[in-house]
Amino acid sequence: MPLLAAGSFNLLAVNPGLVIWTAVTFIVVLVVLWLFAWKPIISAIDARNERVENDLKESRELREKAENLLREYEQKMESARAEALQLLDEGKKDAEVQKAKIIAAAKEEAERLLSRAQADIEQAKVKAISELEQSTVETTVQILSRILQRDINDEDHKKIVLQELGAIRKSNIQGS
Amino acid sequence: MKKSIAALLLALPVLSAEPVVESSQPEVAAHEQVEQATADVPAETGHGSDEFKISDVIVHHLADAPLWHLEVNGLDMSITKRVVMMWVGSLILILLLVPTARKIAKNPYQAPSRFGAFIESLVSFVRNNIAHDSMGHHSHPYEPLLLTFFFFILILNLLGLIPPLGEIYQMAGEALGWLHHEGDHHDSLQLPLAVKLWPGITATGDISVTATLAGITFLTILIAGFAHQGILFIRNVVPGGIHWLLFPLMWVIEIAGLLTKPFALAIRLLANMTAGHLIILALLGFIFQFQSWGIVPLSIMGSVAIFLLELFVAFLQAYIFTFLTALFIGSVQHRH
Repeated sequence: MPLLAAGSFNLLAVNPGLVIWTAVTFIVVLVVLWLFAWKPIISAIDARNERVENDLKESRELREKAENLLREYEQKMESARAEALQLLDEGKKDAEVQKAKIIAAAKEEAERLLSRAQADIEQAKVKAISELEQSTVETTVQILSRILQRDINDEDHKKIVLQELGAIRKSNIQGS
Repeated sequence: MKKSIAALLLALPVLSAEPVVESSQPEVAAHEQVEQATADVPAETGHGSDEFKISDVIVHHLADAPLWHLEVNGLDMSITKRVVMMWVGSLILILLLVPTARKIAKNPYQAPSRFGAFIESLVSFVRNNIAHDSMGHHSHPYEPLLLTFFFFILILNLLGLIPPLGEIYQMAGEALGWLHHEGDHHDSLQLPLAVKLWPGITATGDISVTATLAGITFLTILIAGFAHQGILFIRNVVPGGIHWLLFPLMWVIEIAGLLTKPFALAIRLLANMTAGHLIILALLGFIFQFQSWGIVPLSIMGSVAIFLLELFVAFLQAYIFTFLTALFIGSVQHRH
């Protein structure tokens, strides 16, 4: 280094004073930073890392749990849906049966009513006919007695009329 | 860039002192004062001369010089420029890191501030990528030392890139005429302490500093060796499987190898931190060597480029020193 040699400057000359100052300064800085900078920073970073790790683990577990729950719920939902469908089906079937039953009952009732009505009508008809017969007999007796101008007792009359009526009915039946 | 401006400013009075150049010459009175100042500054380093020599400027910038003389038991313990720079750097480190650490420790689960996050990322980088990668789970006790190495070297490297602000102020003031330097009389605008408190020198660009740091590395390697291998460390220096006749020879060689490691550390850091400055000064020296404006853009652009490279190198060398220290410690934790 001719350029530097001109200034009588030796790059590799060790200055003992500077060595001592460097050592002292570095050691002081080392101790101060060790106690008041590195220790707190390192423990803070470690604490944070640990916390982050724990949080991650926890979240992983929570997620697993949530996924399990979700799966469970989905299964439950599925089974509930199936059950509901089944219930609906059953209901439909029941309703169908019920409907058929009701219709059958109604039909039966209607038939029953109809037959009863028919019976009533028949009865009324019979009754009416007998009443008609009665009144016809009486009227006929009155008419006949007036025509004959004589009283025949009621027993005779009735006998005669009934004989006559029987003949009429017979002829009616034969005629119809 | 600041460096180049600084170098320019430093050279400014010298430039005007030259008999050649420039139409806009200052008046003769100011001229003379400037010349005095020029003579005065190198006088501090003991290489004063009226004639401008680029080597003087380089020596002024790279060489250490005592600011306060001090002698203890006949040993020169002067507070030199590098000592002051080291103290300034240490003070900055402590003032930056301790409050940041307190803030982080106070509430470790809160997201740190931007600066806190930056410091944390550097700390994590040193711990994970330097300490843990070289030593595995044995790295824990060495982390504070490695962190201190990294930050101490880094801050000294970076501070060395900032030019001597006090000197620039002095020069600029004298050149522009608001400062007058007449014998013992000082202006109130003069900042005599500023020149001394910001010497603007790279502390890590000195063999005494780098060798001391490397010596601490060496001691740590020895301590780690004995701590992890016990007294057998002395025998285990030599790798196994060697014929016993060769053992003495190998032992000497391996011990030399052990010494080479810190030696290389010291030289590497010194050379890297000196080379960039030297190149910048040489590039700017072209201007005065060739006495031509044509070289100016090239010189300045080159200096800026080298300055940016130096910025990178400042981080790189702090990393390399720390990383190799970690690697050497890791290599003695287990026998070969």
